[in-house]
Amino acid sequence: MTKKILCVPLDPVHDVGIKLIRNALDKNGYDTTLLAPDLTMEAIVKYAVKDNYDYILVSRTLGYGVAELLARFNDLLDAAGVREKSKIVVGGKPITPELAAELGFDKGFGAQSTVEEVVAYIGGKEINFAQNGIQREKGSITKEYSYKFVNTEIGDLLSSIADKLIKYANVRTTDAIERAKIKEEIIVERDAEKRKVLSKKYAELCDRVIVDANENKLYPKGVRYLGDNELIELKRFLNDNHAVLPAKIQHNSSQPLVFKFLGSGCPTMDIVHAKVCERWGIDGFLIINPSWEARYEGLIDGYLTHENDGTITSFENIKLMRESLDPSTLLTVRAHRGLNTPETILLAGMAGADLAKINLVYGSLGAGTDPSRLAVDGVEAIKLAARFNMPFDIPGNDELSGVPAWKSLAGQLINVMVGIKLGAKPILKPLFCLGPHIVINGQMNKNYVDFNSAKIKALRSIVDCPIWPGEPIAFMTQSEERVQSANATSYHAALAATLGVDAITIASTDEAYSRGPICVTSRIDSIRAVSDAFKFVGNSKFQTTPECDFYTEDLISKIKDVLTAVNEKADLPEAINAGLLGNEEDGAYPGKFGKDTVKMK
Amino acid sequence: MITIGIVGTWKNTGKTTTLSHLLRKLATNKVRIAVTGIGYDGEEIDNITALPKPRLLIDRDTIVTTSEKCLENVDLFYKILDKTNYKTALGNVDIIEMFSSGMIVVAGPNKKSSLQSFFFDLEKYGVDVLFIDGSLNRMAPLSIADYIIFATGASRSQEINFLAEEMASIEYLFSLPLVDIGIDFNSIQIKNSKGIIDLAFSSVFDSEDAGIVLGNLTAGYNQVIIPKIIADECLDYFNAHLSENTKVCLVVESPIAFLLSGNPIQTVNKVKDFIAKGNEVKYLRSPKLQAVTVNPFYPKPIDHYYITDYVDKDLLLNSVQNKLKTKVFNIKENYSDILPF
Repeated sequence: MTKKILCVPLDPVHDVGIKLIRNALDKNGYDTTLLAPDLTMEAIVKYAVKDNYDYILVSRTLGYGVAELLARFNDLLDAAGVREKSKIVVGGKPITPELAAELGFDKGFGAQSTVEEVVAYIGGKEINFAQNGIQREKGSITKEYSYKFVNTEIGDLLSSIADKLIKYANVRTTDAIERAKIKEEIIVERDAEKRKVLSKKYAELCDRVIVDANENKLYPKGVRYLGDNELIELKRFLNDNHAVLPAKIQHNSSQPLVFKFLGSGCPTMDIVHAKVCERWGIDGFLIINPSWEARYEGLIDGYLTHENDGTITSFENIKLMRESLDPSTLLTVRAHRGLNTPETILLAGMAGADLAKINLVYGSLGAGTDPSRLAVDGVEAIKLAARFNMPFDIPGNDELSGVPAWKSLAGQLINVMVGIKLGAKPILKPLFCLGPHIVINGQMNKNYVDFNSAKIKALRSIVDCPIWPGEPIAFMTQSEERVQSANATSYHAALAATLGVDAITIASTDEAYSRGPICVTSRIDSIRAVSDAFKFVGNSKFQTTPECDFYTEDLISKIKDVLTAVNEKADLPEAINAGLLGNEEDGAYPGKFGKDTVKMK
Repeated sequence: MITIGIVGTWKNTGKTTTLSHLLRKLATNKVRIAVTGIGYDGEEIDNITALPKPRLLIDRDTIVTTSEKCLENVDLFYKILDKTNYKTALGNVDIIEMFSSGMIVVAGPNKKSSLQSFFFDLEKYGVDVLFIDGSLNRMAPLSIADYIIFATGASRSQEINFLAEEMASIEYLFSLPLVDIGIDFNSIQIKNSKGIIDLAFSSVFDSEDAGIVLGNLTAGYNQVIIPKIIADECLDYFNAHLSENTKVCLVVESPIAFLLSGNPIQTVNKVKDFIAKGNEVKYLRSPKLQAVTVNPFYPKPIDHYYITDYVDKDLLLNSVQNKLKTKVFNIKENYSDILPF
């Protein structure tokens, strides 16, 4: 028999919610009656008494004294005998299961509840979309892509550049590559004596600072071991607390996944922040390690905390973070620069991270590593990423130094082709930013839509590859005002969504100008802003001006010119050293860390 | 088994604190105690004001009802006596026996019929005293309790004279007599010179319903049994339209049927007018009003949040006591003789 439902707007103003629910119930074949919003409680109860309703749905926004009003309404239904035949359900913005229980209702739906959830409950399915704990599938950024080059001319150039680079790397090695091999043996070795021997061998390839930390527990300034009590308390916290009414950022399934940075220095603080962000719908995190970690040969072991920016990416720290996050949350470890690139990818893979971050070009230009060293280490890192089935993103943050967008994109495309040839899954990461070169040359003087859109269109016309604007989006458009910062992030997120990209990285509202640790509330600011932006744009599109087409063609043409010049060089390090992918005038200097450390095999 | 309900005139009037004091008072007595609630009580933070709430400390050996979800994160020793089919918005109700003292959220059967059958369920555990914690200003299920303790206070109103007058009105309603008619009816019954008339509906909500009742009355004595709800509007209608030679003995379910109007002072004025015209009001059942507790605390709304504030506690206690025959207690002081045994 068709279920009969009485819909009661017990609110003189807010009856939209109950009307939406009524419409959905009608569509599902239920027999519904919607009462007028201005009836007295006694009149409503009289209505409820007269017929045999299976459910009475009461809608009311809570304010001062309204809880007592709802309690009296429930009492009237009870005293009139209605509760013997009808289930009484309350819905309204601040309603929680606890409040519904306190008011004596059979069920409560709050701000996070969906119309579908109410319909499912009436249907006896009781699908609880807004229950405790994260309920979602892990997102995939790469699965839809063929990695085929649409622009074959550029594809051929890249193929040639990548072949020369791989050939260059294959006949060379570094201490970092050797350390990665030893570290893998250490992690899997169960015999303590053998491990000791391997650790000694590892230490011989490390700088003194790292040896002192690993062998003598003499840590660099600001670093200390995380105590057992801290780990136990963290575990207790994670056991005792679960995301209540978890939110979703995306308004539809085609909108991009949303990532945030973690890197306070303290893994426990990172984890607590991450758990809060997970509740608000964040899909993944990128661990940002301390900048000094890139300058030393070797990595420090163990559960480590660091009082300055950057969380140490030891095997134990990555594993702790991975295991603390919800299984559906993606975790990225960055290894795009420095003297430990292969080992960091190895640790990330063995600790269960989902993604990695590698850029052989940017890591050598804006990020300080010698081009030859990173070329050799980077190829090994990409091979390891492929082995652990970890897609890697290619950050284009060289634009922030002043490198023109086309050079940054050309560098990213080189990484894409190397990744494809080595069996990995690369992800393009063009910046959505107001970089120095753009400021000087005015590409974003009229609007911020055309040039950012042009980057995406240009890349799409070259290769069928996932795109994840970063890093974070809206870089250099945000100020220290939290509202402005949230707005700037949300506008760029909206643009990203309409361009159909696969993921975005967003900053917290205090991140651009933070002079200390980022606070969790400002993390939520930008998440909420992006959620609203996604809802606002939905499946609509921004209308670009003809300048977007001009920029698109211009970028493609200049990318081709850059790659042609790079291909004329013997190998990638030579091209980077020649300034073809960013020169001193652009504010890019070839890095010096690890200079002259590459050995022939 | 003695059943004692604790009812509030509003949220935060001190039901939980009153219950805590009663439990402490009985802690040394050798009586088997059970605690249930018609809402959700004992939480740390108020679901509406976000202010800290008094917690409910339950002694070992006490039988408590709580919901499955409330037990998920409880760090106490207890035994589940029965997993019942009574449902709340937080899941089914469990009956547990405490093996250690501790704080627990109480959530039990929340409608009158469920509470009635729950009384029978408890008999097998040898319970001597069952406390039923009210919720906000809800009271309909508690009409079947033996005793009621009312909690009122500044949360209801910061006008002390109003609180005193309102409690006096409630006391008046509880003072009206009982009538034994033998069986419970599910519809309105009118007994008069015409015989017995069954109106086939059980509540009078408005003047339309009241008009139907009035149309079936005869000159002389009429007994009108209204088993469910009688709205204030109907009392107005009777007062305005009953002819002088028609007298009515109005039998309603309990004093709580009148209190559901939400405005006891106004309702009592109408009841008194009705009685002054030579009519009577009687109840099918009536819990004994055992005591009143008063709470000077109230959550003061400021912008979008609440702060803790108080009215003068002595003035509140004395003002309410001066208007009542029933014993009045400050919720945190002097609980002697509050219980009926």
